[in-house]
Amino acid sequence: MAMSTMYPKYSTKMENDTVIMEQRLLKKVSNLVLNTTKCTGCGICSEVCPKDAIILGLVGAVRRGAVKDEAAISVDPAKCSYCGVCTILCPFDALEVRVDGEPSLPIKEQEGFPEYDFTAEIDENKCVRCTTCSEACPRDAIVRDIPVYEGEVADGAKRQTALDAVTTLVVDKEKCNVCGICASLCPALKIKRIPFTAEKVGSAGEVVWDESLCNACQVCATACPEHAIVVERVVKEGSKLAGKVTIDKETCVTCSWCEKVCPEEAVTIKKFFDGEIVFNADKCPGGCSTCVDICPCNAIYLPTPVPALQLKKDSIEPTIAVNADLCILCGACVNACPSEDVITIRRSGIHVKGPETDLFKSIAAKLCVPRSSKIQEDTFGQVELKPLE
Amino acid sequence: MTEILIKNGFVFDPVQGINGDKKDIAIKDGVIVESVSSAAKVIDASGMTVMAGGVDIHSHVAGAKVNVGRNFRPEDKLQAVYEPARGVRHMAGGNSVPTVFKTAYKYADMGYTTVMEAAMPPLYARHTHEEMRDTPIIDQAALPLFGNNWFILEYLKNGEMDNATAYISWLLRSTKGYGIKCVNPGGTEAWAWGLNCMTINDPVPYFEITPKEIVAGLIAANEALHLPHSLHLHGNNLGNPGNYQTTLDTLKIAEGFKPNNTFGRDQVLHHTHIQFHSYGGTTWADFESKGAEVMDYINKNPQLTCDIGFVTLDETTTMTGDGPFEYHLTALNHLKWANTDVEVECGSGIVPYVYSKDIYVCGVQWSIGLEMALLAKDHMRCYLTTDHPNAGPFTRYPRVMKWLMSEKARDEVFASMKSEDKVRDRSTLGGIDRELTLYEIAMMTRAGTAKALGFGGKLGGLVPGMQADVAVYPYNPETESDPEQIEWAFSNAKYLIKSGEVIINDSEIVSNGNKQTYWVDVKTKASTQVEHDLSEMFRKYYTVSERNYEVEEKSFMKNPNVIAIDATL
Ligand code: SF4
Repeated sequence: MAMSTMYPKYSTKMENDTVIMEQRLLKKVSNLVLNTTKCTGCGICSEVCPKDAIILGLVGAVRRGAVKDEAAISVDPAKCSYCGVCTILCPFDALEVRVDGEPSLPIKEQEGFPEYDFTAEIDENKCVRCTTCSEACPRDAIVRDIPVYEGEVADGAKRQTALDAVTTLVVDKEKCNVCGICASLCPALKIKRIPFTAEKVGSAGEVVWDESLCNACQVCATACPEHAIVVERVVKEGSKLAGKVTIDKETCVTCSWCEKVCPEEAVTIKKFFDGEIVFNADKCPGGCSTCVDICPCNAIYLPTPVPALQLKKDSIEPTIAVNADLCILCGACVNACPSEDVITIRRSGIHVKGPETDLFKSIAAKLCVPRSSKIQEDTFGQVELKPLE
Repeated sequence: MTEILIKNGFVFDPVQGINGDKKDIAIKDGVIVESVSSAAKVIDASGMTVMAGGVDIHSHVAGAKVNVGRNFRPEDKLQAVYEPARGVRHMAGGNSVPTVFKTAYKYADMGYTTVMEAAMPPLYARHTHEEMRDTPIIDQAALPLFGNNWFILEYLKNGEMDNATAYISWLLRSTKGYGIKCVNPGGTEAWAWGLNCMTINDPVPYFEITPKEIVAGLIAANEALHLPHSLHLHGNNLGNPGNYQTTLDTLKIAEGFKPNNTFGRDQVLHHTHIQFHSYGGTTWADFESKGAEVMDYINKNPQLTCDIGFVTLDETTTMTGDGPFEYHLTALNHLKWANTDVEVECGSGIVPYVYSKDIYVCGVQWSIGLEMALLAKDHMRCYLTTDHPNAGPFTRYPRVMKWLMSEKARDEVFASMKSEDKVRDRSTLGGIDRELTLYEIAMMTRAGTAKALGFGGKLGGLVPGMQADVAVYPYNPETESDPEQIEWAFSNAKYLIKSGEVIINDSEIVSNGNKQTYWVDVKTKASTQVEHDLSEMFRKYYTVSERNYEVEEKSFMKNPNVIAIDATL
């Protein structure tokens, strides 16, 4: 067989959570690696690909797990030039270009393309290390570097260690008759008893207290039959839990859930896209909720029915709704929606830093074409949207 | 040519003003005639009472909820032993919810020939018609339910009277129904959400229409359609202390409406089982009768008729399209409860109930019905019913007649009550010495009900030309003095003739007759809106298809008798 028909050699293979596209030259091997657990089917890669090598498939079914062994996107390894534009612009960090096995983004290194510029910060001074943002974040992007206490796991750190405080326990030796009750109640107290002896019958000894085990609960003081114990705790002004809460910028998608739910207003998020999303619930057939299931930001919801007692003709809840404040305009919902004109996305700006090259500008223009879904597509097996305006 | 001559009976026919005169009644080919030839079969009625066949204006005798009542109360069959088949009779049983055969035989024994089924869920019309088809002897018709129907709520809310009437006409034709029944207007739809409309001004969830607007709209639609019967209403807030105020508010809605029909009907609103709607007090502790107040209003308003719903002091089965009321009842008495919500249209509930003489509330309920009937000024507008089987089985009509006709009989009941004084104290019945006459009973059971139903001129009297439905009772009004004889005689007709055919001969049922089922076919202007709404509603909300909805005469009815009306004229 002639060399020319053997090289370059293209292949695609699926391995667990990754799909690996490959171009093999005589010496050089280029790969585009898709992480299917991170991919949300937003379709930004397919819009930005300078070679039109990426198409979108069964976004809803794949994301819901109804279709296995298939990814939401598919890349033609022969059309792909392994340039890395998709990798740079994927908001979900799902794509990676590798050359000869090593991560490689020459286009970025040679300053041929900008990257997203966004803010995702937590003001350490305002943050009280509560659990709200980390539970609300739909992407698990909150890094909560805080000791795990016994409230969360049985063998976690003792709760008294969470406070910056001084605790004192004073035993009035005059009153203490070394009865042993306090020590039997609390692990912070021990009794050093002078051994009983027939020579001198009586109860004597001393109470020993370990501050690190005391949580100032006052049980010993209350239980002491002689009122011999006084416990006091002074907490240091502004005491907070130890550790730090931060946002992992690789994972963060700027949905701003954390900012909206933070009780201390400690979070600042600036999104990477400007624009608007509009839901036209009248066109939604209901009973689908694919968009709700696949939204990477949990921004879409099924509105709660009005209780019968308040039910009026015009108070029937819409079939579907979005909280636009939480939306990042990624476009996954439009790609997955099986109906027409229910969801409209209009991106009006992309926040980037770095050289805004002509290539970038032409790609940005494509990203800013407003779109909705359509029912009947021209090509079977791939998502086609309806450009608006 | 069949000819019959009923000779020498004491005839009571309020239609002709005949009050106990000795008269012969001649029958030829199914109708009453002036005279017959000497070849006529002669029935000797001397010493007996002769009346037209009874016409029951309100009774639950056929259809879905009646059958649920039969199904979920096997113990009801123990109260009345099954009678084996005999002669023309099929096996028959059941007490408060008798089988279809027993229903027919008992009505025949009481001299009744026509019975209106009071509440037909439109979607289950086929069930109702199948049971009526299997009920021999008595002529029947059924009233479909409209007061919680989504089409009606929608059209009336928007003031679309033409669409409301076009829809009613379509539904009467589809279900082979007779008139407009309304049960707990709006409240049963609210019950689909677990709620209720307790006054006439409580809006229905989502539909934002009030019971008052529903009732007014249905009266207007009824008259625009020139229907033989008026709106047949069971108002809101049934069975609660203090509800007489709601009842008066409801009855007032009819003020200003005029009857518009060629059937001889004078009322625009028939309020059914009014006894249950005439309660005073605020709780069961201070519960008292407001029967006098309600009857006073009805006496003064000729646009109204009512039936009583007499409590017969029996163990019985309640069944009504008033779903929330039945739930309320099961919460009171903790007996078993069945409920059916019917898509788009209505709802219902069923609960057994024991009206015990030893319970003072039941005693007062018993008093209220009798009090109202005795205070009625015009028995052509106040009828004898028990809302069978809600206040008691229809088989107790003769007992109710006894109570109405005999103060002594009433005093005996009072005396048998555990809390006689308290019961007497809570109504005016004890102070009423009026005793109704057979003439008034005939008004309450045939002349009046036939007129209110739009059968005047055909049923309810013995005028030559009328359908020959005649009952002969072994009761001598000149000599009889024992009230017990009233109950016995009116439970055991000596002869019954229906459409000229002898059904009971010498106290024995000898024929299953030739029963008919009436329905009303009323022509209206076509409404494209209603056509559109029907196809939309069936497509989106019904579990059956529009084409599979209609009750066809051929398959479901025996001897359909269509009353055709042209409401476009
Ligand atoms: S912006 Fe959204 S994705 Fe980023 S950390 Fe906050 S909640 Fe998580």
